[in-house]
Amino acid sequence: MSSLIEVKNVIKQYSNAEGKLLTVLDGIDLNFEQGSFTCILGPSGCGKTTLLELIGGFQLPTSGQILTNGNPVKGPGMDRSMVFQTFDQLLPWKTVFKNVEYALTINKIGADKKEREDTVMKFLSLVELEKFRDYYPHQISGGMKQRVAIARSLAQRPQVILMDEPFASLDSQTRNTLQEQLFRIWEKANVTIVFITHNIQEAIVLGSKIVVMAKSPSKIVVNIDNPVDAGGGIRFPDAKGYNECWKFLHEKISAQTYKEELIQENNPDEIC
Amino acid sequence: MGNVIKKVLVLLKNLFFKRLIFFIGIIVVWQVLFYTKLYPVQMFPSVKTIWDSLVNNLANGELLAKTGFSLELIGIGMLIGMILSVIFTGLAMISKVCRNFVDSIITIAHPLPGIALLPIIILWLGLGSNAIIFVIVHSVLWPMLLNTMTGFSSVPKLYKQLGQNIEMSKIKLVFGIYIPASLPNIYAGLKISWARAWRALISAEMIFGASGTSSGLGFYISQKRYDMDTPAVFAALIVIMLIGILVEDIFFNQLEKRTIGKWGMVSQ
Repeated sequence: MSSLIEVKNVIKQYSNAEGKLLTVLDGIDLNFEQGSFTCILGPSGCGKTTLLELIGGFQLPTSGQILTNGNPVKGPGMDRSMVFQTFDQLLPWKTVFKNVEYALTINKIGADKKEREDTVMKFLSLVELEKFRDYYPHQISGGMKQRVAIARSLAQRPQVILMDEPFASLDSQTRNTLQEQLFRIWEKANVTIVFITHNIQEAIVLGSKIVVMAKSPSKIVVNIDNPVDAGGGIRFPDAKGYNECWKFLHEKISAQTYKEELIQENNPDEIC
Repeated sequence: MGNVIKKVLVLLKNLFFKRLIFFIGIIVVWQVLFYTKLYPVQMFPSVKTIWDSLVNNLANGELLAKTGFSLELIGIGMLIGMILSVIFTGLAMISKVCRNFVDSIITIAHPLPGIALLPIIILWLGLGSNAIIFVIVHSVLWPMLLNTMTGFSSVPKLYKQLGQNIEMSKIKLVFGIYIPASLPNIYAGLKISWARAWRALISAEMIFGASGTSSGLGFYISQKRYDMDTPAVFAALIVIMLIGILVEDIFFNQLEKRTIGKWGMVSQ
């Protein structure tokens, strides 16, 4: 396995309203390998989304480098597609089919209309939504919208899919179903996924690698291969090592929260 | 019996019947006021004389010709206004300097009544149709521009990111993302502009009078007032209102139903 994306000592700072510098990411080093499924865990406000937007090219790092296939990221591109948390990420004036097709039409991917249609239908059937091709986004449920968004990302044929808590707004039942579906798609489609979540269970179920970020200013606290062994299948809570892994991650994340509170008590000025 | 009541209720829910009842109410009140003889007949004609005047003037083609002429001017004025507002919005999108410039123009020009510009317009363009079109463009452009720009600036950040993600060019981003996403605002601007255009047209015509050989509804109204033909004045007003209802109910409603309504972009 080779490194598809390298995040090298990335620092991201913003200046706030008073002109004070606020460090969000404080030296992040990460590698994402071809075909890996990396789940990034962290307390809210730790800069997970910022990291994803940096990889996506929507923002540029203050210092450090992000490389895809050895080339520095200069802006957004078709090779890195985003899936967002909100249900409103589909274009409401386009049908499910057109939403998935749009990136292909814009970039003239596919020899003709027929070939594009085949591609779109292939990915719509992968998320089991081929019957809803002519529906408008407002006519389908939240879970279905997220599946369309995943299909849209896949149809773009990216090297990596960047997912920003795509299931966070779903009810737990739908969430479990979509986790399984995404896992199967990842197995089948052989894509690289970077998946942000604040849910430990989700990280264990999905991730081949699990990363824990500290609270802002963020560093990487944990970067491990998922230790839970389910024989390559989906990692349900009865899988070997699940509980230990959950406890380990929970401790690491709680430690972040705890440390943060201690700092706050001791020198409240240092917290922005 | 219950069935009949249900059917009547369904009918009442229908916008058309609601409107009809409203109009019948106005007509009845009007006629009652007429019978009280509180106002002289020259000022307050009966429903019947207004109706007769409307039918006669429509039948002899005079009212239709005037209406047609007015509509033509409005059409030209709105078209120019729309093109200009697209150009201005485009400019405002390109750079911050342009954006400030467009904002300043709107702030200065929007509250300025077109009629206040008349002396200058007459000096520059004379008394012809061009002057009237200018007043219409002035009244159409600013509300349209204001609404389009509001629409553009309230396009969700996420749609822009999506567009960038799939490597859309700036032009494609405008036509593929910004315009459809701002349609609710653009329609609102169109509706306001349409109403403003009518007002501007009628008042400009009443002041300019006939432009050359042809003239529109505004001139018709002021002419009939000179003749003390009050029923004909009301007849013209009715035509203006009817056109307003037709455009609102048929054109705008259908347009919204077939676009943003179908896409769930309106809160119902």
